[in-house]
Order: sequence, then C-alpha cells, then structure tokens
Amino acid sequence: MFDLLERVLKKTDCFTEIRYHNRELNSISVRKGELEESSSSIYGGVGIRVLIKGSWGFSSTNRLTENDIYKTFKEAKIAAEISSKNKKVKVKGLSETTMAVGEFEPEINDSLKNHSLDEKLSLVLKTEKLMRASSPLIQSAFCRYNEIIDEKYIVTSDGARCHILDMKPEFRLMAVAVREVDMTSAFKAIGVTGGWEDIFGKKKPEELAESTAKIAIDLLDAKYPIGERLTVILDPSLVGILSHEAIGHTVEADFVLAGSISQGKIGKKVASELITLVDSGPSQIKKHAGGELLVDDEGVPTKKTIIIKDGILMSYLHNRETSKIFDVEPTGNARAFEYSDEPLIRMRNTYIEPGNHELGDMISEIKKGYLLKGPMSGQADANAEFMFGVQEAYEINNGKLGRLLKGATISGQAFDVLNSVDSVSKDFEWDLGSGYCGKKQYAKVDAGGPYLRCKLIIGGKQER
Amino acid sequence: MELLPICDKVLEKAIDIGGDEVEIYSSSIKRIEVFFEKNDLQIARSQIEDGFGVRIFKNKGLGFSSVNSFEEEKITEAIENCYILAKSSPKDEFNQLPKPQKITEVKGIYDPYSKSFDTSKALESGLMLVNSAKNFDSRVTVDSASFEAIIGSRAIINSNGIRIQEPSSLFNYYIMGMAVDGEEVSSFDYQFDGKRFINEIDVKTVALEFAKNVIGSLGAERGESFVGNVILSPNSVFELLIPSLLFSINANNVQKNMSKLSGKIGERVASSLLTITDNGTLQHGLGSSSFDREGIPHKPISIIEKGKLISFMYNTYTANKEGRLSTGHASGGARTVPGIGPTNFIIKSGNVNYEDMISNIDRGIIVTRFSGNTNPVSGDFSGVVKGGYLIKNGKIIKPIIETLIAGNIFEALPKICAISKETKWVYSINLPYIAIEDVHITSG
Repeated sequence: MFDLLERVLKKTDCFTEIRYHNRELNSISVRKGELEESSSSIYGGVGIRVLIKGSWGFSSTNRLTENDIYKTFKEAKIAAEISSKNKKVKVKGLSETTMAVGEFEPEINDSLKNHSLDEKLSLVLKTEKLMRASSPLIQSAFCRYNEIIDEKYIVTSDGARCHILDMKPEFRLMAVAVREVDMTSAFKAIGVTGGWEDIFGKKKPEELAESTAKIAIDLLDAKYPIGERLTVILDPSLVGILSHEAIGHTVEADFVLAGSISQGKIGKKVASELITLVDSGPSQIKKHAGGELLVDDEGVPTKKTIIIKDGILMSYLHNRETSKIFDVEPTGNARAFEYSDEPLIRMRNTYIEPGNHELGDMISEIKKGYLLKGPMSGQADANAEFMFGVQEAYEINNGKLGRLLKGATISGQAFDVLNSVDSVSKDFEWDLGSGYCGKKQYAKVDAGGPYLRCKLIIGGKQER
Repeated sequence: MELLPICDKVLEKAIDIGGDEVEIYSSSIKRIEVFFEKNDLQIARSQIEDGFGVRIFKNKGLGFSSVNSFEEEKITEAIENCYILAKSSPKDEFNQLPKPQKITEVKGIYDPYSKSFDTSKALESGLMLVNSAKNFDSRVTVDSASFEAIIGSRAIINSNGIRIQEPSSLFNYYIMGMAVDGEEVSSFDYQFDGKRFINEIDVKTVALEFAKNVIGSLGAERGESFVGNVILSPNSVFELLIPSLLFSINANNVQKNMSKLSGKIGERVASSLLTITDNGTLQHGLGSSSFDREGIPHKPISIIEKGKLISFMYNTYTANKEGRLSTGHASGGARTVPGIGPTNFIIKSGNVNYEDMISNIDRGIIVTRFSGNTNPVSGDFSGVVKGGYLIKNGKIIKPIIETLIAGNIFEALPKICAISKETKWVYSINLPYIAIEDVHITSG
C-alpha cells in the first residue's frame, strides 16, 4: 500500500496528505429475544487533502487503482484551486513538526479476529436473555456488540509515512423493569481500544447483565430528588462527560477561534488548583482507553496534552493549521472518522487526574448531598453551561450513603463547578469508552477520571 | 455505472454458498460539496463511492453485510460473513423477501445534464446562496451553509426475480445563521431545499427567506404568558409535528407498541381539517423514485383522511408480520438493512388564506421555527419559539423572544383549528401553515 500511495504522492506538486483507511465494522443487537441487527461491513478507500494558496481541497474514492487515486488527487487540487480564488481568510500555513514514521499498533490482548461472528452473536443473544431471566420484573432488555477494526496508511508530502492498526470493541446493555404502571430502565456500556481480553477480561458479560437488571429493578422503588444546589460527588463517568462535553469542546482551537468561552484564557486560573485536566492520544494511568489514538489523521504523533494544570488553563487542542495560528506545537487532535471525511479538531481521551483523597472520607464529610453515578443524555453549550441526566443518585445524610433516587439531572457552568471542587479521589476509571462524539462526523472517544466532590445544581421533580 | 451485472454475480455467489433467499442492493454515486462557515468558504470536497449491501436469509435467520468495493476478494469476504450471521441467527418466520411487482418509471428524478456538473458549478451556486443572504442586509451573518450535488445510480435484485436499476440526481442546499445588530443577536434560522434538475436550482429563494426571517426577528421583545392559538409555519410544523408523526406511523414502532397511534386505524386521531398522504411517484419529487429499498414500486397512500387514521407505512418485514403487502416504504441505502421512511409526505392544504388565519386570532403567536425536544413515543414537546410574533386582535404586534411552548402532539392534533391554502415544500415534505388552539405559551 505504501508503494501505491507513494507513487501517487511523487506526482503531486503541492502540500498533499494521502490517507488510506480500511474499516471492518461488525454489529449485532438483540431486543427482547428478537435479532435487530446482525451486520458485517467493510469500508475502505483513500482520502486526499491538498493545500494550495491558503485553501484546502479534499476528495475521496473507494476505487483503489493508481489511476483512480491520482484522479482523486486532481479532483482535490481543482477544489483547492477554485476555492483559493474565493476564500477570504486564507490558511496561514501548517506548523512544522516531527511527522509520524513507522508502524503503530495499540496493545491488543486476544485479537477480536480470534473470535468468530457466531461466537459474538451467541454472546449477545445469551446476555440479553440473562437480563430477562434474572427477574419477572424485567420485561424487556437490549444488548449490542459492536466492533471497529481499522487499518490506515498515511503519507504526506512533508514526511509522514506510517501504518496504523487499531481495534475498538463496544458492548452495551439495557434492561427495562415494569411493575404495574411504573416503568424504569437502566443502561451500562463498556468500550475499549484492544482485544477480547481487554473488554471482557475484567467485566464479564454475565455480571454486567446482572448489575444492569438490578439497577433497573432498584430504580422502581426510587423516588425523585428535590431540586436544589448542594454538594455532590461525581463518579468517574460523570467526571468524564463533564471534562469532554462541558470543558473539552470549549478548548478545541477551531471553537476557540470562533469565540468560545476559553478564548484568551491561557495562563489564567479557570478551576480549583486540585484540577489537572488532560486530553491524551495514548492511554494514561490505565490502559486501553476507548479513544486511544497513536497518530492523528494528519500524520502527527499524538501525546498527552495538559489542558488545565493545577487550575490554570495551559493549552488548547490543535491541528496543524490552528497550531500555526497560535504558534504552538500541534497536539495531534486532527481526526477523520472514515476515509471519506477530512480531519477536524476532535478530542481523544479526556480526563481529570486522580488526587489523594479517599472516597470514603469524601462521603463521610458530607452532611447533606448526593453520590451521583452514570450519565444519561444531556447537552453543553459553547459557554460551558451544561445539563446532564444521572442514572443513579444516592442520598448522603450525615456522612452516610442512603436511598437510591431516580430522574436526577445536574446542571451548572462547568468552570464554576470545577472551581467549587474541594476534594479529588485516588481512584481512576475510563468510563465512556463506548462513546462517540458528534461534530459534523463521528469520533471514537473516551473520558474518565477520579471521584470529584463539588457543588452544582441538582434537578429532579416534586413528588405528586 | 452498470450495476446489475455486478449484482447478478454477487447474488449467484450468495446462493452458491447456501443462502435460501438473497437480496443485493447496490449504489454508485459521485458527491460534490462546497461548505461555508462564518461567512467564508471553508472547503470544497468531492467523493466517489460504490458499494453494495447483501441480505441473506438462511433457515429464516437474517444476515447482512455491506462493502464499498466490487473487488472479487472483498465480495467473497462480505458474502461469507453475511452467511455466517444468517446461519447462526435465530429463526424469524417473517424473514421473507418480496416478489416482483410491475414497476412504472417515475419521471423527473434524473437530469442527464448532471453528468457534467462539477466543483466550479457547485461553488457558483454556493456563493450565490451565501451572497444573496448577505446582500439582502449587511446585518445577516451566515454561520454555515452548504451546496451539495449527489449524482448516481442504485440497483436492486433479489432471488425472487426483482432486478432493476435507476439513475438519479439531487442538489441539496442549506443556510443557517442569525442577524447581528450592534449588541443584539437575532434568533437563529435554518432554511434548506433541494432539486432534481440543474435548471430548477433556486438558492436565492432559500437565502432570502433565511435573511428575511433573521432580520425580521431583530428588535424582539419578551412576549406574554397565556393559553392561546399558535400558528405554526411550514418549517415549524416540520420541526414540531413531523418527527413524532413519522415515528408513530412507522409500522415497526407500531408493532413494538411504541407508537401512540397503535391500534387506532379507522379512529379519529386529529381534527377533521387534517388530511395526510404520502406519494413517492410525484415527478421531480425529492422523495420520489420508481422503487423502494426492496424493489417495490411506490404508490400514493392515504395516512390520515379528514382526521381519521387510514394506514401506517410498511416495508416487507413489517407487512409480513401482519400478512399484508408492503406499502413501498422500505428506506435506506447499501450500508443498512431496509428501514421504513416516507417518500413525498404531504399535509393537504386547507381553505383559508394565511392572512385570514392571522386576522381570525384574538390572542396568539406565530412560530416561525421551533427549537426544543419532542418525545416521539409520548408525543410530549417543549421548547423555545424562534422567530416568534405576537398576534392581538387579528394583527401582528411585535416579534417576541424567550417564549416557550409545551404540550403533547397527539393532544394537539384534534385541536387544529385552521389550515392555510398556502403550502411550502420543506425538502420532500409539503406543508401548510397550521393553527392550533389552547397551547400553553410561557414568556421567560
């Protein structure tokens, strides 16, 4: 493949980035005993991006002959040339950096390819059935296994020459419990970068099925919280979603240039000094983060990018174009979902570093508050205001964990919330590895962190 | 591209490996797009993609595979994977492919001149879209806009003898943004349209409607809280009513008991003013084609007739479950198994002029756009009115902001009190202005 791509690259006369990306995608889902999806797909092709007189042109093809790939280059070149006559604000150039050369593969234990599609199908059928069999209260259940197996070759006219292999399996479960007129549901999802052992080694499907069903049943008896501002402890998954959605997007350099709330804040204190927030390509602290990315889609090796260090805003997330504007090193955040997508600034694995508090102490010091677990749907704006649903809210009264409540939401301004943090636990989990982030195209991301104690607004509803 | 001979080859392989019933859907497209952001051209891009999706039933078990390549090796791999899945999938007696039906060609969905449509022509249209909006008033700010041409062909064959191919061309464009006047920022607006033929492309109309809406909503003040009449524009009908309606007439959701309209065929579900049809055979229609994702011809169907629910939309699988025939609403492409979707979805025009609808209202609001949540299962909606206007004693008083409306769509359908003569195509959906009584309107 290098030979083919380089033969085309030799014929080019401008900045050219050629990316071959082949993706195998297998998805199986079962709802209430019925197969909803059993599909196996292969999408491969070449995406070519060129930069001419300050304008980008992009073109892609699934046809892999030298002639077709060269035609695609010419299409991209025409697009860039035509654009350059009409684009007002020109691309200033691309920052110089050491481009990726060589072979890149994350740690994979027991390749997904060692396991047949039959085996994956029976696992999903079995797990879904287990949830329904666990109690007569579980009236419906859903289980889905999805795997993405990627191979990429990236060559650029300024020196990138890399071959990248990757595997990302995901497993999700949902259980619906019904008693008379009450209906509740519970979700669990896991996702990693790695193999079969890496996803199912620690978290066994049968245990996940059991715990998902149990939460759905427990929620049947749960009451709703009353809305108020108070002290809460966020679990690693909520810390992750807060870091990604409410902080991370505001530091993506394209959003910064468009006027996000983080514009002009580098070097300023934006959070409690207990907070160090990172977006990293390679997994940190624990292995197999679901958004692991060793080289980005511009051919830049990724690294650990410290966004906030001890409360001070240190860096934005960049591609080569924005790092030139800000005169910094690119951070390896340029990502494209498929071969037919051009790279955009996206997060990878976003987290808050663990501190030195014990979770038990953090709970026992709270007079009245909540321990919150598991994000549900929500939203965040460019001004860092957010609202997320929470699956499980446990009351804390006089330092003791109490009842489970349902239907809680959390909201606030993310930087205010991070300013209110007064303790950070020693723990660390990646917990959004089954997640996708949407911004014109999808990206596989992960997020996580320790437990954080902070102040925010809990929403619920009044009992009728 | 001649797709049928490739499909024949794939079908033969899938039968040889042991498939009981086999369906191949194939497509080949060229896509050209120019994308604008922050009043400026961002990128021009193009794409060529061919591929196919194969569905195999083995002992009534389902397997699906798709591949964006016609290379021998990839075809074989896809079929092998598909067969493994079909063989191991649980038996479902409703897994049965459709039989061929007579196909009548729907005219006006392929412009032969589209073959020579290129990036510079797309850019010309894109620039006209953005500049028409900007030239209308210097306060107009374009957040993003795009012009896209999709030219290609699709084919479907199955082991029951369906074998057909059709070319199509499509030109899509949208513009979104706001007006900025000093410190004041207007409501956001979003307009879009599409055409089948080059000589029908009309980006100016879309640009001007967008520009007029954002400029018109400048100077908006807080409204009032009351229970009153709401006039929904075609765009806000699209945002507020259409998602829940389409969800609840989808036979798959009906059969899974997720639709509020389950079990209500023949019953009154809406005001007698409301009549809805779906017709995939309209010439030049954006939702038109000669056959659906399974090779079944489209035909006009009645969904709601004078408030009475007449039919849901079916593909072959959901039709098999009820022992009936598909209504020709199988949707999707080569990458997924057939779903269910509308073609050209039409709410019939009424008998009053839009002007008269306004003058008949004592106290109410006009909603140009709706931004909020609708729950398609329950029909509950709540959200913010964008580009809203207050009506008093039959007259438009002022543009309003920070106004919320909330309610339930299925409770609102019987409360429709007027439908306009004027209609507008919102992409493939034809919509009038609709007035609804007794809506809770809250000023923030």
